[in-house]
Amino acid sequence: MADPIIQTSGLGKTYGSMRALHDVSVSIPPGTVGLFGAIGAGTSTSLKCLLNLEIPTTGTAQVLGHNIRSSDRESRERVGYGPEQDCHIPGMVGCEYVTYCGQLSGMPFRQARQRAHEMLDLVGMGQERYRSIDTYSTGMKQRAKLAQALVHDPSLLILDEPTNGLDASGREYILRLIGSLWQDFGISVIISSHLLQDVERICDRVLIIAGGRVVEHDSMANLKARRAQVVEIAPLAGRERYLEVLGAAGYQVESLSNGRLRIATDQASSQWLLELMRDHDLPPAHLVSSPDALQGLFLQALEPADKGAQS
Amino acid sequence: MKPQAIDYERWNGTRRGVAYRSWIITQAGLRQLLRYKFFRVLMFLGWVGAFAIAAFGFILSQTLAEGGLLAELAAKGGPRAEALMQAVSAILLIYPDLLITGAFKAIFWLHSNLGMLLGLAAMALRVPQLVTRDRSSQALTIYLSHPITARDYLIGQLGIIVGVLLLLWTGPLVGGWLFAMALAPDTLFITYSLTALGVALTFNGIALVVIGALAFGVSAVAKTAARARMAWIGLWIVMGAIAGHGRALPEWIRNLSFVSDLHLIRDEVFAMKDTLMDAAGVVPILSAQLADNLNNAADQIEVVDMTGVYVTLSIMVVTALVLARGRIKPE
Repeated sequence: MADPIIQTSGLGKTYGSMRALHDVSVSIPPGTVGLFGAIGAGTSTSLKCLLNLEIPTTGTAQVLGHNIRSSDRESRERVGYGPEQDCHIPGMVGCEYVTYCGQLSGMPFRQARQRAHEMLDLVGMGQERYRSIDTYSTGMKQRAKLAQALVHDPSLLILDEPTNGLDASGREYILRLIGSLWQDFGISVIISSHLLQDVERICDRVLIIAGGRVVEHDSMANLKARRAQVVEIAPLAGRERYLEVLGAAGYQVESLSNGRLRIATDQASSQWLLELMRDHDLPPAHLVSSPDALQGLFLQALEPADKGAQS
Repeated sequence: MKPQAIDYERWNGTRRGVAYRSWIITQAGLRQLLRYKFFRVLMFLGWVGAFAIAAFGFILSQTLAEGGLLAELAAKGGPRAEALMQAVSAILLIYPDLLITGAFKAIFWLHSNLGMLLGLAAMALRVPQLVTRDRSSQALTIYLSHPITARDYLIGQLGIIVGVLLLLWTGPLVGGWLFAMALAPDTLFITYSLTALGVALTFNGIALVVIGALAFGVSAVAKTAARARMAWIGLWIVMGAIAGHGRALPEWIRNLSFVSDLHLIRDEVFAMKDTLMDAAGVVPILSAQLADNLNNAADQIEVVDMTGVYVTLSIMVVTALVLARGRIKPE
């Protein structure tokens, strides 16, 4: 098994009397990892602790095999970070900013400049790169943040809400890019997002944080397998016939306001439904297996934390 | 469609060390500063000062040296002028430390007024852009998420202050001296002006530490650029005015003005009182009136107990650095 990209032991962070992170012990293997939790759950704090932007109150952590406290600089040597908030150096133009970030990671000027242009091309930024970064829209700032995080060719990319402020096509573009980093280039990505569908689409592993604790950490496949299967059908015609046949076969069918039919089942695949459609000569339909699976998992994972908070 | 994946290439170059990363911060800060017209004007004035030092050195050496331009002109001006020049040259041979070292000390002392003024004015421009701006714009998060520590960042920012003072003060001082020495007709001028240069550079170093630390402290504490600038101007001009005009005030209050403290330290480092009194002891050979004037000037230099000055200034510098170090973390 490959060495973990992140390994923490009893990691904790308190601000005065408020406990933001509590006894976090995880070992995250390489890949694309989704990190999510409710607002204030401790996701951003945990990322900041891993980057030493916040000093952990308790515990230890290793990033790419380097202890974050004893090897402060080395632990960030091959890490790229795209923070959630607008972080840029005022007065710089886009390409100057990305070049500067490359140099801050130790790249010589010429190579940093060349790579800055490559990264700005990569994130889909055109002539705007010659404009002052102070004048950028939110979407352009997101692209610049991603470019500066990639410029020094990191082995681990940590992104906090990377699709905030992007329009639909921009979001699609950036998600494809992030998704390909691990698959095609072996760059691990930890992505913190409140947009569960983004995480579900590109991540092969999920870590859920609630109340400063890790409440779920597993591969996406395992998590989905643990969750009761749900299939949604959008019949092109003969909706009534679908209701009739499914009811007769003993399935609980929920009729949704968007015209879809929602069926809970204990079967892992949708093969049974295809057979049913063939046997009863039902009209074609659009099938969606496990829609909102992550949403369900998320809410399910939060339940114990919520109960704990209430008690 | 995966256009991104096609264009991405891994980079396996050699990464440069920590000193390079701090230097990059310094370089970027100075480059940003050079974009300001006001700073370029300050630089121009600083190098006018260098020209003044060079011109002074040139005139002094040509006046005093035996083979100088003035001696050649005096030779053409008749026996009386020639005799006067020979007397001046003789005094130079007997008292080179007094004439050369003393004269250069005086010009460097005057130049320190200009250098310090320009340095303080440049800091009024730069102070809001040190820690204040990086904190308010969240740029500190970007800096510290890269493989640099808060100390590396601090060194880089201190480099900007050193760079500013080098461009406006130390550079013109050394440049002007070098130019003057290049035109001097005798190596005696180099030998004896080096002492004065050493004294000037010592004070320059002290001022650099004090101005740098306080600029950092102000920049770290202030939340906005406007407040940082106001605080700097307050410390510099308002406190300076209080110290300068409030003779009735207790000494410790006057010591709170770092500009006043630096002026007192300068007088001590340059030892101008001793230089003037030594000169007054020798000059009667040429002019009793001049000796009286030198004695009067020496009397006007205030003698104060420097312990309070050093203690207050040290406390201010250490406090400023501790404050700055504590604030270098993301908001």
